[in-house]
Amino acid sequence: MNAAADDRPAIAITGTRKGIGRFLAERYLERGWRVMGCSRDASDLVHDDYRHFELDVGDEAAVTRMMREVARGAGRLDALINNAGIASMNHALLTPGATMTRIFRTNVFGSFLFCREAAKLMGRRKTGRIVNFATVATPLKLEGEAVYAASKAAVVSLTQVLAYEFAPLGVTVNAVGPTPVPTDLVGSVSQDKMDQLIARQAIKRYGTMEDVLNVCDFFLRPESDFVTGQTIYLGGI
Amino acid sequence: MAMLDYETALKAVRAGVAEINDSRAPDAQVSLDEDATLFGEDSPLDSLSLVQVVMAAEGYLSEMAGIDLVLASEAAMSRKRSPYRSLRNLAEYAVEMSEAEVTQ
Repeated sequence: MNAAADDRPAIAITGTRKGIGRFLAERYLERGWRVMGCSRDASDLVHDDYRHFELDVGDEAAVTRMMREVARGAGRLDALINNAGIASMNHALLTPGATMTRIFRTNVFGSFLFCREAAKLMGRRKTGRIVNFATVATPLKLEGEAVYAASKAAVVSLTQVLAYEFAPLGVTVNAVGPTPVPTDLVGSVSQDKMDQLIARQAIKRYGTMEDVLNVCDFFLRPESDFVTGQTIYLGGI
Repeated sequence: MAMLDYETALKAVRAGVAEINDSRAPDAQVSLDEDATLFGEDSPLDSLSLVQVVMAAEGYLSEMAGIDLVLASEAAMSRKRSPYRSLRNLAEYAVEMSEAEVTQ
């Protein structure tokens, strides 16, 4: 990672070890951004402008430490993509409380902690972009995904309220709601269920990582400084 | 985590106030005096500006001393005697928080 005097933009992306997070990290690196990523485990992503932090996004002290390291290392933070998320496909009657705790810890608490710490850095420069991750499972009210959908509903709510709270700091907060993208997150769901879900979209196909990147790019554009508190669902939900 | 001394904490708090002053009108500058009011009836800061001072002070503590503290918190806000009353009180609170971190 280059020194603090470097004036290239810096972005923090959570959940970069694999899947969409990894894809986004690679794309922003290709474009010359400095990228700070994190996941519970080590990453094999090697790049001069990439720094990886091993942490649980629900661990407040660890998130605070990472973001202070970002401030010291990059000297600025232009954008945050709160991609880290976990799901659980199960009937509510079969879902232990521990599963709910685990999912909310990562999806809701993690997103909140990163938003808070990112806004502290961004607010000092009076500019910043935050993109949270919602899901179509919330508006589609998917059976078997009560806890996951509820956690992402909380993320949408956070996005809307934080948009107001962070607006005076020059920070926008938006969310992207992907349709199923073939990643580990949907790997455990049966093909039959996936087909039913996709049939409810206006555009009936799997999402791609490029679709998600496109929405992130829109929110991150300098010209999008009047766009905040919005959730864009892919696929026409 | 390293121990934080009062002088370093005060330096970080002053830097935080100075940073906020950069975006304030000349007649709305906040004094850098140790006993200048940050929070309370006589404060020149609205609540958001106060939070920005505290956030900036957190950042300067991290930069100057490598100490990562969360000073802007509900716990601090709800104290009977606010740790945000003056630059001195905020610096003392930072020292108190760093000592609590070390003993944990």
